[in-house]
Amino acid sequence: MSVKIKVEQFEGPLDLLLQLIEGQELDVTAMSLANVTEQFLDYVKQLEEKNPTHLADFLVIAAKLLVIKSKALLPNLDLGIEEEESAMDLTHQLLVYKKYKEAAKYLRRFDLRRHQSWTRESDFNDRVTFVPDSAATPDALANSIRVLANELKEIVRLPQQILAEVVSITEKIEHIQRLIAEQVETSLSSLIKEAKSKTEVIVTFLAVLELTKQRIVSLEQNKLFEDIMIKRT
Amino acid sequence: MDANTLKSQILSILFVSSKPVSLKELEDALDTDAGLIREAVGLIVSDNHQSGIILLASNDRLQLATNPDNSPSVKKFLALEMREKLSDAALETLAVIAYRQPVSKAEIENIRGVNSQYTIRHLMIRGLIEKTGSTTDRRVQLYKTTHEFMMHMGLKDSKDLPDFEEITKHIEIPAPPSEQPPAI
Repeated sequence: MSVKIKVEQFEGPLDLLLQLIEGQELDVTAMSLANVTEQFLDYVKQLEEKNPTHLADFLVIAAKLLVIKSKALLPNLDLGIEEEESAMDLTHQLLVYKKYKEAAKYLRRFDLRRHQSWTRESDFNDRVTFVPDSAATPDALANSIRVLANELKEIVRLPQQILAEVVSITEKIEHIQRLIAEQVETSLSSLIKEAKSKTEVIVTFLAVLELTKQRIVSLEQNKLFEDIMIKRT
Repeated sequence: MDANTLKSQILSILFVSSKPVSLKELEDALDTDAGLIREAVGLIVSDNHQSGIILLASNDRLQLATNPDNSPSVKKFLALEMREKLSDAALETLAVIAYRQPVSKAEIENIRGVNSQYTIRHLMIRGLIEKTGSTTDRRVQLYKTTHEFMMHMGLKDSKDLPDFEEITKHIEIPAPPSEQPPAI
């Protein structure tokens, strides 16, 4: 049903959304937003792999879109006034953004006109913008970048570890699901017994909570501090 | 002091100063009321549109500059490079700042829907915008455009910036959702 629109470049989630809507020649309404939700999510998925810099900004908008989409599919769905208002606000936000995007077009015209002026400071000498220090020899620069690269290694390593944990929650969930499919019932203590590190214990617990939330398993505990039994629902 | 004398004195002071001069500095030097000075400045700005030297007035600061209409000859004479063109993100951010100034980073990001830290820093480095303190909250940094912005864009007058309402009137914003029957 939805037409695929190819968007080459966008400056942010609002820009992407605007291009998707206008690509289908729709007006900015809640209905149009519901229409392009899936395409928007497709782009967010690609972004996750290619360029995660502004991912958080895209996810904020994606969440609002999902509220709008759910509301379009199930008009009786009650999501709480606050959530609904913040989502309906999106059309307003999008139109305000569109106004500034329009204004930016005028600035671009000025920029491209290449009519510029200068003050008396624009002297020949003042225009030299980069004077390297005499000590900045190619060898010294090469050495500096090596030192910097070494220091960066520490910083770059951190996000990798965080990513590894995220993956292992998903793995844990799959593992527990498989286990529960075979055994019908298991206990938290037996799951934790397999854990090799403190992190894995935490991850296991989070996975169990997530499965409970999704109503795939149910939990039972007879007494305080007693073992928690995990059952298939 | 008659209006012509005042105009003449303002021009002389601006000529000897290569840096922007604030309205306050002129007030002190000329011992004249800010209102009268502002009026005279407005006249110089509009009188000089055809002149080789124009008066740039931006956020109560004044500076003489070459007429942007002459940029090819000035460029050639000084062997200058034209300022580099701006990216889409930079233009978008600049539009928000130009039309809402002084404006906070939070407000810019709210309108653009995307983190604008990098773009704002880029515009600062290029001198197109500058920081200014908020009068209501000392912790908040606000941004406004500079003379460099006018010189880059070739604006002779702050009035050269098209009217925001005028250029965006075809984009209608409906009343806030709470006052409307649900749209879907």
